[in-house]
Amino acid sequence: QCLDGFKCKYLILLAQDKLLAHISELESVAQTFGFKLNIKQKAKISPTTGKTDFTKWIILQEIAEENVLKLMSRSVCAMSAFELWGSGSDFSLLKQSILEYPLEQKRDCFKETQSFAIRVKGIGKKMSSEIQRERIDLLEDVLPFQGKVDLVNPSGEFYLVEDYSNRVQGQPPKEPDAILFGRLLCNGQRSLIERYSLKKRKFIGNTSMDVMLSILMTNLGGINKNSVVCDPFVGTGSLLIPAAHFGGYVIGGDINYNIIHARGRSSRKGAGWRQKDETIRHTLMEYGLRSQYLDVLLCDAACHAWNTNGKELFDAIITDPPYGIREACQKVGSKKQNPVVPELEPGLTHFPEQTEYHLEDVFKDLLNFAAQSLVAGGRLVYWLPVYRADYSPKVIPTHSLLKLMYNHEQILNSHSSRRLIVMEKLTKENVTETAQAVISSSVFSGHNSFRDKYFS
Amino acid sequence: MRLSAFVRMRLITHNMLTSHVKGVKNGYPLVIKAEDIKEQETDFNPDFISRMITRIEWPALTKAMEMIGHTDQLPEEVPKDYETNNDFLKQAHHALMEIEVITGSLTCPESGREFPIANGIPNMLLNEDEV
Repeated sequence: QCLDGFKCKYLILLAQDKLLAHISELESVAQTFGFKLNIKQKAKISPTTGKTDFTKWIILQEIAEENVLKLMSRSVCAMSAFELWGSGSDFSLLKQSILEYPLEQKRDCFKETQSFAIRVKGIGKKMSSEIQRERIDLLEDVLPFQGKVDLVNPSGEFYLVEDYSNRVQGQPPKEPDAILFGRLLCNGQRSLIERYSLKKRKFIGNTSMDVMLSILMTNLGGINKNSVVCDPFVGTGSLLIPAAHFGGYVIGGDINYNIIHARGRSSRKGAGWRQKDETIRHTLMEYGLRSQYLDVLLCDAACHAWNTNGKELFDAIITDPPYGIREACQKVGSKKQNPVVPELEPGLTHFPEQTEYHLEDVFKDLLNFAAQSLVAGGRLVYWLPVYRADYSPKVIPTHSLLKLMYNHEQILNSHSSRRLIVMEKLTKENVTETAQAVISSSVFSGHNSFRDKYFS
Repeated sequence: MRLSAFVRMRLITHNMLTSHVKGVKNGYPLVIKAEDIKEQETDFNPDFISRMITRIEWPALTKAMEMIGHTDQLPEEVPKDYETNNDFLKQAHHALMEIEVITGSLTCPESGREFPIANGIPNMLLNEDEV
């Protein structure tokens, strides 16, 4: 714990994901728990491209330790958090910095009764065991540990981190750009990626969301204990699992009868027909999350049946609408002028004809649905596919009741990407109830607007 | 086969659904015809139920309970002290979360259009001649 009157700094090591949403995630989690972040971040400009490089770590200031622990209890982008004892651009500066760190803050760790371990970590470079030992020896005179070394289960675990990530012509620099030293506080939630792995999950579909991304979306959506979370394109429910894990109550709809009723063929190669227990309810039950399940229904996103008439139902809408590559965009409808529905014997199900659901309408309907059904401050998190040459901020759908919070690109291939869009519902003041979603660009209009370009 | 593999519609979901048949002005609440109902105990979470009380339509819930023949189980109105009234929250929890319709239908009160519930899943799709 940070002592009275002394402001600790905390080092957060970030995971190296291709989607750069670290800061957005941490900010969102902080907002969920009701505090603000003050991030001291080293801006890194790549010498070769001139672009800002990924961030490998950040330093948090003016934050209570309990809030750091809260951040780490949720973040999938953060690997570990440390109480920062010192930092510098070379070893003598680092040692100076550790010496200046108040003794009363360090004293307990130096006690004879406290075992300890020092680990050395290179970012962007592997550190051989000789070099690691050499580094630890260099620190000896500023770290008067009295206790025993215990590499397996120490009472205090310390990390020396050297940052070599600013590569010059593909090679790590000779000297690190920064050296940091701190006491490990806790780890983030990377282990959930393994726990909810799609490889081990029975019920999956063609477009089941990557586990890391679905946790990230949950955090960006501000899900907390008792949040009500809806996915209107629920599929196999992959986006709802992390929401349920963090205490949200989940509900969803899908137009696909087979997916909802565990019919048809499994998406898993060679698995044959789907079994009766391939349902979202059963999946949640297997994960011990049964109490978080509300319901799933057959529902057309183009003509939904939720009672949004003046009612705000959901705290978040988290979804991945189909965009015509691996899952078709469809809604109920017919090409015929006057379609005739045959009389059915009682007990039989009529499967309505389906017709293409243009992306422009998919996204407009989604934003309108979010604007109607979210509580004020509730969030909509979804993916928007973009042919990269077409991209400009104009392609992002807008709604006067929804404020754009984040927009992160995930590159899929040389010509296409998808953008993770996060919007927050505003309070109704000064906005007309009849406000409608708008897309100022025409890139999503027409049949197969994205698919045609994707495969061209 | 284990029964738990089935899904069932809860009354909390019924409370959030409305008839969306074209031209219908008063499609709420949907009329429940239940052929098979189960009651299953679920974890009581007073914070969640109290949070939902402001979002659900209470009269629609009491009506839903009547429709499935569970009369006299809920008060007509939400008590003022609902946030701290544990007995009330337990009653609400039971109605919202523990009663599950497995087979039956939801009927639009205005147009009479029936939406079937099969395996506990309401089929809210309109037909191609209705959209």
